[in-house]
Amino acid sequence: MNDALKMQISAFVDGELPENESELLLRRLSQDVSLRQQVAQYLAIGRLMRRDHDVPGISDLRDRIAAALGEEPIQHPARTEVSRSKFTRPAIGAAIAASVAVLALFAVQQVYSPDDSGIIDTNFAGRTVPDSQTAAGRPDNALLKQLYLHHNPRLVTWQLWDGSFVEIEAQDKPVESDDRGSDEESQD
Amino acid sequence: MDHSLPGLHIMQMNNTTRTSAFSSLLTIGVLLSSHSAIALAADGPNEWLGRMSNAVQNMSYEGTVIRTRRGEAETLKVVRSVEDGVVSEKLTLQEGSSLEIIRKGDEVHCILPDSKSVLVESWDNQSTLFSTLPGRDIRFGSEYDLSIVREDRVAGRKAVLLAIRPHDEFRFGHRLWLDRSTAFPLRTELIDGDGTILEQIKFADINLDAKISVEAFSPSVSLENFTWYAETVKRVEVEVKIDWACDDLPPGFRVVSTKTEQLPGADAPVTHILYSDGLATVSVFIGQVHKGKLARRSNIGGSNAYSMQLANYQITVIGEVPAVTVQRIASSMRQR
Repeated sequence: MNDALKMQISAFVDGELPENESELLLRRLSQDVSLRQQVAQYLAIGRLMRRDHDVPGISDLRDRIAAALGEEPIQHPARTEVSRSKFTRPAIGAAIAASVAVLALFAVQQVYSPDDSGIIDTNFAGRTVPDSQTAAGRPDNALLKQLYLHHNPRLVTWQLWDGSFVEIEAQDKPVESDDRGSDEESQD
Repeated sequence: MDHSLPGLHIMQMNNTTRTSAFSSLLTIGVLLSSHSAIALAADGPNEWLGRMSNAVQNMSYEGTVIRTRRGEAETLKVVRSVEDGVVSEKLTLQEGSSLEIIRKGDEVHCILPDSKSVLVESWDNQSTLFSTLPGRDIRFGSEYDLSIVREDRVAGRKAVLLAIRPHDEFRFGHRLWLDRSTAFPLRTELIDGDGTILEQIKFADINLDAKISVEAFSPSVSLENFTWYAETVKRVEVEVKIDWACDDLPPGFRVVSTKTEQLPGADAPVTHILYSDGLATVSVFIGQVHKGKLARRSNIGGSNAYSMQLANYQITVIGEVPAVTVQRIASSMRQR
């Protein structure tokens, strides 16, 4: 995908692309599966980098591509305000969670099951071994791992399996470390 | 169950008899200890916890951390700074894979030298290392006692030991060694009802309020020829009303939130009910029956899980609580 196309897509997502150019873009996308996949990846990564989790234009783009292809519009989950109970994470709990969390990045997570003769998986976090390579006959704990992660987001969530991550194109890579401001030392 | 903790019990020492020379000497010691106790009591345990929260959020530091879970230890180098409200962190595992985690704000890079990979994640408020602290109206529950135990030394610094003792067998206890001058947690322990330490996190050395250069947050290895990966799907949560409830919830636990969540790779969303007793949290996940075998009981460190089928549903309960608690909650979930 060239830069001109990226700019065109960005403009479309932001609602700034003229109508005639929008139609051309949609037509092109409707005819090119490979390009659609690239665009989807580009948008996903862009969202991730910007932390824009729900840009309306992206949903609109998906729907209009689907319409151009004669498909049903994509259903988007309704978002509602999360009503927080007064009895949310209490002060002491949060304090301890915060204090421990910085130290709680598990290099090697072990899910231990007393029902299954001990450790059932050591490839929990920070590893690249697909789940299918866990020992045969042991419990399928992919779901269990997900539940642990959803219960406690302090657990490191990065995993390479199940297609959860996509490779970033070279030009999309974040700046490694030079974007951390000036060379001045941090404040106390 | 005896939830008492080893160490100096100040009030008990004040009752020491004074009928012998030995007792007289001991009395002197008691008086000195009492003086120290008065000094410590100037800040109550709740004040210490409040100061700890502030210290954890706002302090810059670097040090070496030893983390022990169920007898296995790992060592991490930790660097953290807060500049203009933006948190930068770097954690490097000192053994094995040399896993390195670098965070700036809510963007996180996980560097895996073994596989020449970099994973990029963004952590929202729920998954950042330092979540926003709740307001003053949220109070500590009555299921625990909180007390100052004694003074101690950790990583060469004077520390105050705080103990959090549960009233029953449905939750764990905690011990916190807070830096005497800053209240920063130098050492923490999670303890079960038998007094066994489930998790321990301890600074072997630490430089608090250190001036840390930006270079300290650079990757330790060259990332040339590394492959970069990013998440494609973000976690989607929707707050919902549910028709499930727990018939036999251990005392003190209350519902904090109810949501549906889509898990990566799952066909259908699961219902997620979060309970809390003011300190410990327990999640109940209710979804379709899993086609594969799911471990009935499992744990990671101090987190226990219990999974079972009820009619056409798979119920899995996970929390930083004893196994008996997750089993009791799972076994008493009912659909209204």
